[in-house]
Amino acid sequence: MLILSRRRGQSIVINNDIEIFVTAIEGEQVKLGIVAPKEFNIARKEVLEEVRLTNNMSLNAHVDLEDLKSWSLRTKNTGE
Amino acid sequence: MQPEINLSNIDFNGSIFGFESLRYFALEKVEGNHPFFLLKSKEREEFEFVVISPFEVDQKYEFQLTEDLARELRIESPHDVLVFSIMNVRKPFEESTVNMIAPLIINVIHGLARQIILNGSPYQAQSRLFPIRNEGA
Repeated sequence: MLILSRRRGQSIVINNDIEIFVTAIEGEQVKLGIVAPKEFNIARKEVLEEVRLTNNMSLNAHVDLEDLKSWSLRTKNTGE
Repeated sequence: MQPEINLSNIDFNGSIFGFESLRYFALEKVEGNHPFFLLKSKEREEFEFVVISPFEVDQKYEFQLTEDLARELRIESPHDVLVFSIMNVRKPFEESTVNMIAPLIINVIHGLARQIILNGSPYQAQSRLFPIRNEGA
């Protein structure tokens, strides 16, 4: 892993087309500004991992759709 | 004239997180009077998700579609787009959750779609389904 020191307002460039700025430093928190081509998806890592995990959990639920449908209709009526 | 809609072969271009090797899916309405659809992989027939419109879960659901994504999915009008969220169906059903932070954006005219993550939104990956119904029950 490459470790670089940066001050507020400074940036790093990756592969000539991605630039990451340090825009603010507030105690434990660092605010980053990122300029990148649109084909690069940028996400907070913990959010990305949670979405992956949730997608995985949601696959092939082997749901009894008949059960789900009748439950949905039943609760719709009591909820209104 | 109604434009033709294409739901039988939707190109997600490997954007479903954790399932990057899967590209094409079919969206099928589950028969009956309820909000559930099935999203079935064309490449791995045993892979499917239950999906629901996030607006069924939260009537105030909103997010900003970026211009880049609209261009990539060839979206010309809001009428071209359907939005779905993947459900995690649990038993009892009351404990089911919906992925509100990573909706599926589908251009139904061109059959182009992406799962996106809403950066900086208040929504959750595992949001309770039908919270209002639970209060009434």
